Amino acid sequence: MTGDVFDGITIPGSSPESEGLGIVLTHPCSMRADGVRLIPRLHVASVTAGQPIPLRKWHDSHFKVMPLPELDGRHYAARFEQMGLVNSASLLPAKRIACLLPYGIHLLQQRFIWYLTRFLVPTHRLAEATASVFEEAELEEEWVTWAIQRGAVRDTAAAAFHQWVRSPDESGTSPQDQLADPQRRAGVRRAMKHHLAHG
Amino acid sequence: MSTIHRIDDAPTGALVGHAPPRLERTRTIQEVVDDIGYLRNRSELLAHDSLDLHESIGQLHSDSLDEELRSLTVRHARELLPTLLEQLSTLGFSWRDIAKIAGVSVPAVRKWRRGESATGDNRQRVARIVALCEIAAQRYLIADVAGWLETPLHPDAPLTGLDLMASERFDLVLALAREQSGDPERVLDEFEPDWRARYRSDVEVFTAPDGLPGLRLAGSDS
Repeated sequence: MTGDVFDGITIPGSSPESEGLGIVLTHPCSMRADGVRLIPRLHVASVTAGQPIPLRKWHDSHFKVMPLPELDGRHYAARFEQMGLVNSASLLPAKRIACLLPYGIHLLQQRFIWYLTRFLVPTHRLAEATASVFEEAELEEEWVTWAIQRGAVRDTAAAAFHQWVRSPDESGTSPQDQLADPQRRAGVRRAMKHHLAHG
Repeated sequence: MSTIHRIDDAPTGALVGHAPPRLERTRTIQEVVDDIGYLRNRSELLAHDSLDLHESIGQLHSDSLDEELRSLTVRHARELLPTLLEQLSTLGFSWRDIAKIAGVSVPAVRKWRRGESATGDNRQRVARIVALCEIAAQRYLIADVAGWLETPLHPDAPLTGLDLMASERFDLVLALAREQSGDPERVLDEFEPDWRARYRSDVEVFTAPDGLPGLRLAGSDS
């Protein structure tokens, strides 16, 4: 997911080009080819330790970075000038050391958009645009965890989830469509829980 | 000798009420204005008294609801934490939202689900969510409490009942439940007085040609 921090990865084009920390920048809508498998390469920015950046300075300076205070007990920052395309196969779950909350991801996106275009997008609009994607990701994690605990393979479980989430019900709308409406998200969660319990 | 019957002078019933009307002096326009003004002042005082009474009773109702919430929270806090979490999940809450309202991380909630212990405060927080859902469903007949709490309160702001709960404003959520057909702007004004300016934006979300959500300047077609 966007905002996940991995250790022990090499970012081609960054300087120095050595193993270290990196944060995924690719938008959640763009990182999977068929909804299940990651695309071959993802945009990743280098994450390095540095001096703490006071919160009051976030909005009027340090536009080339996304501060990551107290990550692993120290102050780090994701550096937009040091980014490249990383082989997604190298981003193993075991190498993931942190992930951002949705609000953190929106701040990351806001700062990255500003860095690229000098256009300021309010975080609540970014939240509105990505809410259904995050919902689907959380449901998928729930489904896959449930399936793995019962002996399933991750990819098979993920494929089953994607088949379910895209299948239209009798009204012609799929759970994926319904996730776009905040009023219907709780109903989708209940439906998935029922599906897992009763098949 | 004939008997002469004396006729009593007392009036018969037919005469009662037929006393000549008392003549009154014609009232001046100033006197009529004074009388109506007096009545107007009296009715205004009554209206104020009525409003004060309405507000007092409203406050009493609000206080009693808070007390009911406290009482139910204490009762639910005696239940096992995984049981409480399962109840919320069955209602349709996401783990992320439960964590947000309880003021903890998602991994912390995951540990509680596995049966790891929580502090008394955290158990109370989860119990309070369950208690509020019970009041909303049973007293105010809200069928889908989780969906209701997740729906933005106003088209011009992204704030939801979940945000109110995460900021410890369960009282405002109860007020919303009580006045479901009422105006949520009053609640938003109390929760975040500058919400209109804060969430005003020229950027809007739209469905892009690939079917996924995108962002653009409001009113633009491309």
